[in-house]
Amino acid sequence: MTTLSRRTFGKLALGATTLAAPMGFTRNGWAQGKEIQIGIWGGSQGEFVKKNIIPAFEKDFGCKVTAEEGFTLANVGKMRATKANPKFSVMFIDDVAIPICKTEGLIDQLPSADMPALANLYPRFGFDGWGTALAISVASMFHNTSITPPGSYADLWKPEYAGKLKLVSPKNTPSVFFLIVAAAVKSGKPFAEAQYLVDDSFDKVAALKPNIMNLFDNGPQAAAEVAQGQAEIGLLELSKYIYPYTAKGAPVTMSFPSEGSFAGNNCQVLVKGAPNKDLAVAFMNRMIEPAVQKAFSEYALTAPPVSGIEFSAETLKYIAYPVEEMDKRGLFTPDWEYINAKRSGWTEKMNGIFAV
Amino acid sequence: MNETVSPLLKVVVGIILLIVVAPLVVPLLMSISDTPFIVFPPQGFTLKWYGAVLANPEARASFLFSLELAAIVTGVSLLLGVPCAAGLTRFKLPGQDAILGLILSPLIVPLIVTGVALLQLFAMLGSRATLLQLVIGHTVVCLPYVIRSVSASLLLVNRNLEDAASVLGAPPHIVATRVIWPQVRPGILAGGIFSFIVSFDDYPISMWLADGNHFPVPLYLYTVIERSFDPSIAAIASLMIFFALLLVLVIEKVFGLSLARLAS
Repeated sequence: MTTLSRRTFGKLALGATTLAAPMGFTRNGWAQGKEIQIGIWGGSQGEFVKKNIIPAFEKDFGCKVTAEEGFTLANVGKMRATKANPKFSVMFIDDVAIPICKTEGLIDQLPSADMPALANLYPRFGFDGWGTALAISVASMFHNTSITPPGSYADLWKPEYAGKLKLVSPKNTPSVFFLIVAAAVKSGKPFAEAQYLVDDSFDKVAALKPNIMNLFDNGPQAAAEVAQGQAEIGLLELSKYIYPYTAKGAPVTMSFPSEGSFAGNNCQVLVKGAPNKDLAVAFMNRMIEPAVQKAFSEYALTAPPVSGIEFSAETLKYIAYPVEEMDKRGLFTPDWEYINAKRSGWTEKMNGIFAV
Repeated sequence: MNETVSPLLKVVVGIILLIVVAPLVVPLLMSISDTPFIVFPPQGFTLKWYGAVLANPEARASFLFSLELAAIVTGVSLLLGVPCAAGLTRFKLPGQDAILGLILSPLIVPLIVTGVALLQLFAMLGSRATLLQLVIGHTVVCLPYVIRSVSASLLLVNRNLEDAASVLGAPPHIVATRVIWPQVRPGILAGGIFSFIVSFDDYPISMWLADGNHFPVPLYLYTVIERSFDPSIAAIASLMIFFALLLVLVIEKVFGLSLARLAS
């Protein structure tokens, strides 16, 4: 048996400490040199993530994050196509797609023990542990500031609005909000009940056709067109696409009819079998940290899903925050599991009604 | 040639050109508007949107990457497409129609389907080489344009001239370079131009295969439109119009391309 002298042991200990130093003394040393690919949104949110959040995260963790800008349907498609050998670790999608991803086995539950920032997340934005919201927009009507918008959605069916409305395209998620509005106007019931009556409300949808000038599939473009007076009112769109123009001084803003408004929840999910899962979880945790959420929300004019953030009065003009304010405004989140099962049929019917 | 063109034809051609070209003036006018959002007609005059686009590192990187990608794809498409077209037009091969149908199939299948299928294939292979994936994806789409264009010019080659050159003692490489090449050059050039433009403009294939470090112009344009609909978008569109014009002028100057030669 070899025996070590005290001096030899001391040298070995010193050498081992020296070798381990880069890992032990560097904050987040475990992440050094690791790389993840994430799918994010385009728009101002994507711009902020790429230019501000990712560079700071890479610096803190000594890692590389490659972000690919896209949109919910494309991001879900990418997860499906790479399911056998996942390429992405984190995906940004809307809440509408979370039940689909869960059912298809595309995402994993979040390891809450490794995400201390979850402590501040409002429970309603936790999706039973299958993701978290990142930003909440209000979906409602938007109009040129030269007109007085109607106080009720029901008024939009009146002949005085003939050819003056822009309607969101059936391929965009807010078109579902419009169908629920039509069902609510026809039945006189609140959104929570009306969402289950959409199948019987397409005659009401068709009755609005004479008032529709055209359909739009790009929110910022529609906001610019309404600002120029090409149409008086647009329905419906998320506040994150409209308020940046309002803040720039364009003559367009949003209004909130008496029936209520909708919540548009932008979320993040953890891809099943994610490469470098530990780094992916750390990134998701970073995304919901209060300091990041405050800056992110102020840039994109969206509400954060976490509690305890202070905003200026100017920012609060554009967002529904905190959660009590969301409740006060009656922000409605549809039953996406029910709607997803019906959506393709509804899209087909809408296309049939509004096709040229 | 002293063919006279009727005045009526000139008027009709003029009207058609006006209809085709007039919409291009709209982004040019919108790009000089001194407003924080797009308006038409423009209000005020400024060139700051051009400055903003040219100074934007993201825009520059996307533009240079698209140029690089389109150049590589054009080279690869010509390397594969010209021999393929020659083989298909000059020889009788078993299953020739099936081969041609397979090569031209990307023109029939929606590109978005081709793109997602390629992404699935590359994921199964465990590939992370984004540039290589994009080159393969774009080449699949561009190859039919090269093969169709080159095949058409090869079919129009006067075989009697080749026979005459051979009979007069010209070796095969001289026949190829001095007899065949001048006749097929416009077709190859047209195929190359189509290939470059299709690759440069491609969105559906790139949407599936690109990543943050390899982000072509069409994808960048889409993200900019999503970010904010300000006149910088019109400035990018105008720069692309200028670039296309410049490309045509350079080709005309360097290769002596003319409508008559392409049509021949």
